[in-house]
Amino acid sequence: MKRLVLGAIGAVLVGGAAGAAAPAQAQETPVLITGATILTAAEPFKIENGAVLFEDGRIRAAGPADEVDAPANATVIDGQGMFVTPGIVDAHSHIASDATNEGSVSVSSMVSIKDVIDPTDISIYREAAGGTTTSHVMHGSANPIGGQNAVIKHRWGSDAAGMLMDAPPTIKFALGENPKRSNSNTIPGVPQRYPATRMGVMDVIRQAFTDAAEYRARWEAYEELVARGDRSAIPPRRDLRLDPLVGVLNGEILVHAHSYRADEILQLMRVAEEFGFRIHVFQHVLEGYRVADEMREHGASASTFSDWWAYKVEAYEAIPHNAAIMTRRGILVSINSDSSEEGRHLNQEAAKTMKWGGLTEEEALATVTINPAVQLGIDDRVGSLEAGKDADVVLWENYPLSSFAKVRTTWVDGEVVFDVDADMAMRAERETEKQRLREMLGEAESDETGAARLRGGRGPGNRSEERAGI
Amino acid sequence: MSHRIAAGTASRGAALTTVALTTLLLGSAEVAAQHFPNQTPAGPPFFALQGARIVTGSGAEIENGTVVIGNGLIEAVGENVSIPGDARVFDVSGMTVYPGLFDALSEVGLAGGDDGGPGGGGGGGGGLAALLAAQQGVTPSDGPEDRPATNSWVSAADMLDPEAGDIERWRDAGFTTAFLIPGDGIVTGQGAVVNFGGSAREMVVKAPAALRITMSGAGFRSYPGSLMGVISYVRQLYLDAAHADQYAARYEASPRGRNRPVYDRALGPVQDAIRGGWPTLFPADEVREIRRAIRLGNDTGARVVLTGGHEAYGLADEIAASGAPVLVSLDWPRRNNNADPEAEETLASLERRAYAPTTPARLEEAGATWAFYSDDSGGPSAVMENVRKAMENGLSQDAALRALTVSPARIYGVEAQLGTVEEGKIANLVVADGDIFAEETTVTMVFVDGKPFETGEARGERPEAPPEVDISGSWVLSLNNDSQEASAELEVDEDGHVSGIIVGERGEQQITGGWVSGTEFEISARATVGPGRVVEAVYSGVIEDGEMTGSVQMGQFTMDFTGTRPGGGR
Repeated sequence: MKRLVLGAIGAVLVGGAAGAAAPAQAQETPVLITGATILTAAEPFKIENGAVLFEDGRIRAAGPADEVDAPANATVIDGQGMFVTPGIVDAHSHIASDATNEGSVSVSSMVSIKDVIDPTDISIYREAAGGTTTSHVMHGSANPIGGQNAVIKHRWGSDAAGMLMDAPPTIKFALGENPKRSNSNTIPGVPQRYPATRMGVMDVIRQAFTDAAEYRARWEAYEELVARGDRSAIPPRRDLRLDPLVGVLNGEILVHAHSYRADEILQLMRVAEEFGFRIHVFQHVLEGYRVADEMREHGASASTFSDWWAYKVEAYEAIPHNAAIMTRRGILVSINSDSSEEGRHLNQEAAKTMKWGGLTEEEALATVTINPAVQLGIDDRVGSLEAGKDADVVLWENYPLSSFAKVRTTWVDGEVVFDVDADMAMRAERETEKQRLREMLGEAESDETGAARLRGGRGPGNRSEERAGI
Repeated sequence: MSHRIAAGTASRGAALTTVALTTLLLGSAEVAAQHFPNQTPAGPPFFALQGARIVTGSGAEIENGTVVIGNGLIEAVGENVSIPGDARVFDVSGMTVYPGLFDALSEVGLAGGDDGGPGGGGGGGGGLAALLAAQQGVTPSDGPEDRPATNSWVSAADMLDPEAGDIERWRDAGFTTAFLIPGDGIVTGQGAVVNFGGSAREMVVKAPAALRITMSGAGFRSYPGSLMGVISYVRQLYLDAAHADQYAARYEASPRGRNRPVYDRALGPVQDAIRGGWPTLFPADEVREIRRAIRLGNDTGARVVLTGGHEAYGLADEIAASGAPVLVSLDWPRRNNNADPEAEETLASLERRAYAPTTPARLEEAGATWAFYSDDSGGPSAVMENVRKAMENGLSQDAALRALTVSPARIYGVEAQLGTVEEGKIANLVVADGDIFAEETTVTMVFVDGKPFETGEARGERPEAPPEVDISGSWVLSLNNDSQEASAELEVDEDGHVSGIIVGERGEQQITGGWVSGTEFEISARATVGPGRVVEAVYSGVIEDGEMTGSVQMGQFTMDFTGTRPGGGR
């Protein structure tokens, strides 16, 4: 087993670091984890002495150990004393992208994170080491209407296209201090971008959808002419800013709105209802506990932090019971990271909902697995250990909803993306490889070049290589 | 400043015959004279290079052959070709003739002065570029409709400065041709294939030859501010160009009852580029940039030319399959010299530095179309050094030569005119005293558009006065207020040409040329200043009382030095 894992990681190491082509690989050998406690995030939730079998990148079975038979060629992992969960789904992330904000304009719907995925970001690997296997990589919150987001699998070693998940399209909205640029410095001589108030934020959104509705009408009129056989009809100009907003109006693109205060949450729902669409997910939504009923009525869900607040004025009124209260009021709640650090221990963040507000372990685990999967429209693929779903599986030492939990192995689509033993072995391999490359470059550390480099770097007046070069 | 060799004194019979024939064909000498200046180039005399090894680039080498040049073109190449009676004949036995080298992307000769260019079409060289840069800084754009940083209407051919000193430096090294294009903006402008010789008007071989798109955003101040904004903008620009084409066609067919198309100087060249299939350069150095550029090309219909290519070694097959040509930068990646010297270099950085020079060999194996470009690599000698590095990493000499001759010609659609030593092509030729890529080889003569140019060595660019001081022997050089030391071993011939070696803290600097005249001297040397990083160092100064004082220029840095004889003089 260990050798197999090492082989897989080795391939990832070379492919990932060199950045060479590595399309998502197919799982080669079936894997059976047996004897472990399985937390399925589905029904039944907990299976003591259970087993999970996955093959060809899909889960074949999850059930009591004596009911799951493995094919003869399966790699069998003794999971006694360990726990298995579905891969964690992070509903709000900013890793793995070469850009976060198109902050120059108040409506940046024309841009897409999908265009700028950085498959070499080490956070993809590190978060996988914390059990995260899917992330919603979002545009930033600089604009009332932001850019289009991307959903990625943490297939470390594959290229950007190999990481992108075929998920329903989503778009970022943002309310409050960030889009009105309250906390950003003004540059002398440069006019401040509109809007500067919460009223202005709503105005920008309302105007954008007024434009989008008009744009849609122009296209409909054109298509009608074409349908009537008018061959001289000229199509309207394609507008990449308005195309996605038409998608929102048509219910094809899901809105994820960055929000804090109760009043702005209500405002946005009203504006959306004016135009006949729904806010699919309120992100952060720190005051969601105050307007949970209204959100439920609107059809919104919530993706919030466990216990992070007061980092700016609009975040003062948060309470750690937010997730639990909204859950009890019938809202689908996820806990997200919004951070490459938090993204490595979302299991602990989920566990906090049991302490703050008394969610059950089923409810707590759901906030980082099946619930975010539903919010992203990918619950048919990920979020729980059920036959037929993607083999995104995490093997834990110790109970996952505790601070003692530690990931042993993470699989994405049946492939190992992190293994704690392989990681340790890989460190030595990397050192050997670096030494080999230094020798190839004639720069082995014993070489005097290294010493010259130090002299050049430290000597007074040697501010550049040219100066150091004489 | 051009250093064209004066035409020979051979009889002018053949030239007269040509004129007579032209006169016959066109009816009168007057007509011919009027016609003549519009041709490029205006007919120089005939030349012949005799007795050379000829590397034609289009088949087998000719061991002992002759190239005949007439009217700016190659008239004949071969072992037994007849030389016109009035041709000036150069005996180049023992020398090798190559096609002129072609730098696939450069800004040498662009916009240096305020020469408005031929035909007054330009807006004033450097002034224009500065104006554009200034505009982009102060006028924030609110969206794609503002055509932010879209300088597609700027043409390199209108920005040429034939007096730019760099032109001579590159021509001296055998570079007769370059693809030039401005560097500022999201769409930087229209590039031109130019020859390194003649007036601005004569220099242009093809314009426009390509577009260039960069991926530089403007931050929060102006749209597009981010990489994803730029990508979205490029998509919108191509959509708008296609839409404008469609609208213009309908409008021209029946203008009545329709609003006229909006004049848009930024969009027109993009429409032309789509219609004409212009090559379009995209930055593509890293793996993800390469893939993004290919994808953007597929999405927009732009004919992508991948530019950079240092991480293409792992993607050669994928690139070959995409059909996109690659311009490989000859500025191989270096260790980040600004990094904390205690910090250990990452595996990714080591891999990049170790494998980037294998990119040419890998692209060649995969059958991709690719060419070299000089990039900001420290001048022609550094470029040649870096070509040798690719050859050490598996690139054949033939392939290296193609990447600097016929391949760029093919990429920019001038293969019929340039890139090989073949009859009928433009007479851009290099005469060298050995293998063009060998370190010790000197280029002795260059032909551009059929005009001969002496190279620096033969020109003997130095004051006429004979040496009054003795520079030969050993010197100890103290640089930059005694912070660094170097030693020099110099020799000087009877004409005052200096040769020898300088040894600094980073190793040996081979002297490539130099002179002493009166008490003044100038010495050029090739200095290695970092792994794979070579720059030209020029030491100049005076010798008085047996001591040197002067300054050395290395790249953009200058420092003072003094020189004394070891052991306190003599």
